[in-house]
Amino acid sequence: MKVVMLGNSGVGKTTYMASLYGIMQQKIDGFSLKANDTADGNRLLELANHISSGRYPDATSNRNEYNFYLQYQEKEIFSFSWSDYRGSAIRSMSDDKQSEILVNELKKADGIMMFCDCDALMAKNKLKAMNEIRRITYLFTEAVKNIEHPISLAIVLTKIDKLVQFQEDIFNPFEGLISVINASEYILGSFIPVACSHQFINVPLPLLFALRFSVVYQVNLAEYMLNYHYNRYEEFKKNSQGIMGNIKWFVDSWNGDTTDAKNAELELAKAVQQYQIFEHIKEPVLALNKYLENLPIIEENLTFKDYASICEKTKIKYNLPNFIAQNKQKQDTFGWF
Amino acid sequence: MKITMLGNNASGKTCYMLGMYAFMSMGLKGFTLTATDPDQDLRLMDQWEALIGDNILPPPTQPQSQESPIYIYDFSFNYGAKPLIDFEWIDYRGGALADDSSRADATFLRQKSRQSDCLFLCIPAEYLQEEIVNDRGEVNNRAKLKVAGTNKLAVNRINSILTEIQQEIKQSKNDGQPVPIAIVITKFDLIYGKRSKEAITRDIQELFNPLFIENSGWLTMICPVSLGKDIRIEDNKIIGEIDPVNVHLPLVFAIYSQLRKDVITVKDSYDNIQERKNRVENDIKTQQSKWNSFFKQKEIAGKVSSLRNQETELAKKEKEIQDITQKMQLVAKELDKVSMFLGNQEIKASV
Repeated sequence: MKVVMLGNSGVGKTTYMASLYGIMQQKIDGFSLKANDTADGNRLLELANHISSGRYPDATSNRNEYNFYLQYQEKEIFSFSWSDYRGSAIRSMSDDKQSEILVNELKKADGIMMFCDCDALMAKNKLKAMNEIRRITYLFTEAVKNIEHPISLAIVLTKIDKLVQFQEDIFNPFEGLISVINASEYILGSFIPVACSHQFINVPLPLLFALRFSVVYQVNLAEYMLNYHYNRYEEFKKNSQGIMGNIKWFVDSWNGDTTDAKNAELELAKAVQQYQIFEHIKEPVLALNKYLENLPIIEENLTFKDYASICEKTKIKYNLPNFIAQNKQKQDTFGWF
Repeated sequence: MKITMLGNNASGKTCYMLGMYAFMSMGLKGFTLTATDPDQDLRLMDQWEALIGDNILPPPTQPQSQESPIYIYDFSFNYGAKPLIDFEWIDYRGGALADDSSRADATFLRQKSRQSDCLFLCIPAEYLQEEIVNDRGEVNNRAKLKVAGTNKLAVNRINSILTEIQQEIKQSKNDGQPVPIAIVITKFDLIYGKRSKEAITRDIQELFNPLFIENSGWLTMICPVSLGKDIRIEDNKIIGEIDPVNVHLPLVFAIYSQLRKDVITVKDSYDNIQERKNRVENDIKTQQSKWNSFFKQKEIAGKVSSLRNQETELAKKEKEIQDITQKMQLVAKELDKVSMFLGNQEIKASV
C-alpha cells in the first residue's frame, strides 16, 4: 500500500510524519506504527522530540521514502510506504525529477493526504492559499481520473493551534474540491484538523483515514475470495459424490486430469488461507472504523458551517509516550558536553 | 474536439481563458477542467497569478512554432474527477483576425476555425454599451456602424469566416450542421445592470445576423462572462477584485453540443446496424423456409454468426448511447438558464 502527502513547503508535512511516528509508538485504540528500517524510526523519533520542544524540522530537500507496519495489538497488520517530498515539487515543471516521481506516485496511491495551512487559510488575502489548493486539487484530480477503486483523501488542516475558533470561510477555497468529491463514486474525503507543536491534536487520524479504504477493500476482498473458494469447494465436492462422481473420478484418473475430490481439497485449502487473512484483519478493520466514525466526512448535505462546527468539536489531544520524553531528557543532558 | 476562440485584440480572450481555467480547475459543481500536461497547468497558473496577484495582464499570445502559428492547449473536462471529454483549445494572436489573410497565422486561423467543433466569439461588453436595436426592432445604424463598421470588433471578419464555414458545409457531404457558436460577452461587469438581457440579445442578433436567420441551422449561445465586478485596466494593469462569473458556461455549452453531435452519430450507426441485422434475419427466415434449406446449413450458420456479431455491436452502441446520454444529463443541468438559439428560435438544452 502507498500513502502520498501533498502540500506546499512549510505546511508541516515532515513535522506531521515525525509527530505521528512518535505518538504511535504507544497504542492508539490498539494501533501503533513501526518503521521497517530502525534508522528511519530513530530519525523520526529524534525529530518528534525536537518538535515537542518547539524545534521544527528544516524544509525537506530530497524525497524520502519510508516503509512502515501498521500494528494492531502489537501484531503487524499492513505494510505501507510513505513518501515525503520537497514541498516545492508540486510547483515544479516535469523536468524536475521529484516532481515527475510525485505525479507518478500519486497515480499509484491508495490513500492521499492533502496538507493545508490553517494560518494561510485564515489570512485576509486568501489568494496564495487558493492558488496552492488549486494546484494540489489539479494534481489530485489528474491522478485519480482513471481509478476504478475507492480512495481516501484526508484534507489535513495543519497548525490549528493558531486558530481561536474554526470559521466557515476557511472552507471557501475547498468549495470546488468538495463538489468533485461529492460527484465521485470512488473518492471519500474528510477534513481533519491537526496540530503538532506543544500539543498534539488529532495526529493519528489523517494517516488512519488515508489507509482506511484500502484496508476495508482488503477485508472485503478476503471475504469475497473466501466465499468464492468455499463455493467452488462445495461444487467439486458435490460433483465427486454418487455414481456419476465415481464414474467421473475413474475417467479423470484414467486421463490423468485432476479429480473433483482433489480439486475440492485444493479449493478448501485456498478458502482456509483466505479465512486466515480475513480473521487476521477483521478485528483491526472494525476497530479502525470505530476509531474514525466521528470524523468530518465530506457529504452532499453539509455546509461550511457544519464542517467548521465538526472540526471545532474534533480535537483529540495526544502526548508523546514517556520513553520518548525520557530519551529527550537524556539527549538534552548530553547536549551540555 | 477542437474549440477555437475568435476575437480581436483586447477582446479579453486570453484573460477569459485564464479565468475560466483557474476557476474550473479548482472544481465547480463536480466538474473540473484540467490541462493534460501538468507543465501546461503551471504555465497557465503563473499567468493567472500574475494577473490577479500583481495585476499584470498576460502577454499577447505568441505562436507555438513556425509551422503552427497559433497556440494549442490540450484540456480534459471531467465530472467527479472522471473524464467526460478531451479537447483542444486554440488560442491565437488577436491581431490575426484583423490582419491581411495572406499572413501565415491569419490563414491558419481561418483554416482552424473551419475545422473546429465549436467557435467562441469574444465580444467585449464595452462595444455593447449603446443600444443598436430598440424594443420595437428599429436599428440605430449610427450605433451599429460605430461597432460593426470599424475593425475594432472584427465583426465583418468574423461574419466572413462564418459564411466560409457555412459554404464549406453546404459543399461537403457531411450532416450539413454548422458548428455551434458561443458568443461570449467578456467584461460584462461594465454593462451589468445598465442593459437588459433582451436588449443585448437584440444587438448581438443584429451584429451577427447570419447566425440568427430562420432555419440557418446555427446553434448559438449568448453568454455574459466576467472576471469580477468593477474590473478595469489602468496602465496595462487590472484593477478590481477578481471573482469570476459564468466563465464555465461557454465551455459547458461546447461540451453539450459535442455530446449532442456524438449521440446523433452513434444513433445513426445503431440504426444502420439494426437495419443490417433485420435484413440478415429476413434472409435467414427465407432460406430456412425453402425446401433445400437442409443443403444450405453452412450458409445459414454463417448468417446466424453474422447476426450474433450484429447483436453484440448493437449492445455496444446501446451502451455508448447510454453513456453519452448520462454525460449530457450532467452538463444540460448547467445550461438551464442560458440563452440558446437554433437559427432564430430560442431553445432549451434537452437530452
